[in-house]
Amino acid sequence: MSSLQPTFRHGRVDAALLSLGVLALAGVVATVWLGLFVTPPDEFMGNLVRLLYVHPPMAWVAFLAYGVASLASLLYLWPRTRADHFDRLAGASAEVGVVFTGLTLISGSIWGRPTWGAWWVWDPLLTTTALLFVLYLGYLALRRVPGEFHVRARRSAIAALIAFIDVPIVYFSVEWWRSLHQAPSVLNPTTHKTYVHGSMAWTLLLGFVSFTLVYSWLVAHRYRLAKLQDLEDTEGLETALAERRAEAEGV
Amino acid sequence: MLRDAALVAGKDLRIELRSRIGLNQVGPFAIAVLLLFGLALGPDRSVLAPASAGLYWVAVLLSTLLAVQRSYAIESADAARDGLRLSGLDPAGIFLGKAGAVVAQLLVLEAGLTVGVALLYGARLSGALVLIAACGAGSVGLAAVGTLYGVVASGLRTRETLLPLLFLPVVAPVLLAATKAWDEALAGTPSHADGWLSVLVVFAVAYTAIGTVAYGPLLEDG
Amino acid sequence: MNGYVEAGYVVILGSLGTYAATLVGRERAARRRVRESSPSRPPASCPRPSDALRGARLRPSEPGPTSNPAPPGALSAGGTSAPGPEGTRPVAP
Repeated sequence: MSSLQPTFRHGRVDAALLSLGVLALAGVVATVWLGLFVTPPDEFMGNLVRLLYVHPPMAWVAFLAYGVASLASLLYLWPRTRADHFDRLAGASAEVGVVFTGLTLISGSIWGRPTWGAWWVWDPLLTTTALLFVLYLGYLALRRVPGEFHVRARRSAIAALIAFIDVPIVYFSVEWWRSLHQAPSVLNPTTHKTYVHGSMAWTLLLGFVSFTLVYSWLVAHRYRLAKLQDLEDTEGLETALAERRAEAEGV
Repeated sequence: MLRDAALVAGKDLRIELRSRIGLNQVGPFAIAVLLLFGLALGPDRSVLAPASAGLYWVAVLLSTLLAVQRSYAIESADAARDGLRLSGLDPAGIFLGKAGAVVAQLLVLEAGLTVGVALLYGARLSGALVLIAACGAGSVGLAAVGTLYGVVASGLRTRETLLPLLFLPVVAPVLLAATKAWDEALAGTPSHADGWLSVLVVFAVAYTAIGTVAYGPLLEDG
Repeated sequence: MNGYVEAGYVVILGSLGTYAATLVGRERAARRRVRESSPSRPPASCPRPSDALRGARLRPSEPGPTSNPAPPGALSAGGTSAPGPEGTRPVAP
């Protein structure tokens, strides 16, 4: 099982991850500094615009993570590309994704309260995100059910794809549902006009990039954790098997 | 495949006819849900009547969960599930059969609930074609997703809590579209329901297709 | 209004930081547990775990000269899992 050996060989992988982590952290710090202090308040929403440097990146990562998990699940199910690492990647991306999805909802809610006067509005994007959150939780719950690796992997991958197909259907249904009532929305023309000032646009871009790096770093570590846990399980099994054999011979 | 589907559907429905669990348990459960909604939202019909469509479909969704759980509970006795796997029946056929049986039960349930909603909430029934079409397409979609997740959850110890968690978010579009279609029909503008009905049909077709493909591997893994 | 902005940043950064910290902690703990359960394996050269099983199979007297240990793939279940680049785990359901 040569693929498990790198877990013991620290060297290059660790160094690469460390660089990624440092870069991500630097990006986040820069985004926060720019977002909170350097950029000017918006003419429409004042200081609230500062939340729009972090909230959209959260949403982007939430959907990116979901896309990665779905793609990995598909690759796992496709016979020609089937490999254990795709299942682990799907699980890792889903766990990180649920964190970002939760943060998208919370930051959206915090922005929404002073903007629209309510902690929640049935905006298509927010509603789809809320549903995505619950879909993630269901997927993660399914993954936690104990079982043989490949059985669990296949089951989870199929569940992931069932949920994946649902998200666009949900989005368009909710958007249509909402278009029947003119009501506040996250992605409306006013929001687009917001990022007019140069530094604001750059800060937003930096935000997207930095949090994508954070996502990558988190997924990489979560993936390694999954690998270690599988290794633990395998070794536990082998120890037990070896012991049984020793018993059989001893008798 | 279709012959196998008919066999399995016939078996499931015959079991239901003999045990009458659907009639004795799922039906009353649905009525209880309607009553509880009534209690929660107050005796004022001016609140309940406009909400009829939504409350109706939530009751249908929750009842689908019970129907699906029942559909798999009958397999767990006497290792019937292994028998099903080894029987040589086409898994796609098994899927269609089980889902079909659930659809049949749902349709009967929906008829009863329609009467309940008219009676308890004072909903004025109109646009019958749309109401029926929504029930048909909606039920197929619900049954497909339920049967699919049902087989995933049925082999597991946490199935009672896992199935609702997996099922309900995925069928949210059915709830949304069916409610809107019914709203339009009950409001006397059934023509506006066309878009929502197409959402229901797309959903039903998509998940039936997925089910026929994915059921085989899921059945083996149990 | 500013209270909202600060709250938002604190929640986001705090949650991500906490998650990152717990993740690294879990990883360290798992790595420690794996090392402890296999003290005979020096980090530099990790023998294939399947060797443990091969060794065990060879110990009882092999019936003939064909003592080629079965490849790990044969030990895994049916044909549902292709022996990918990771190699299949020698787990029989």
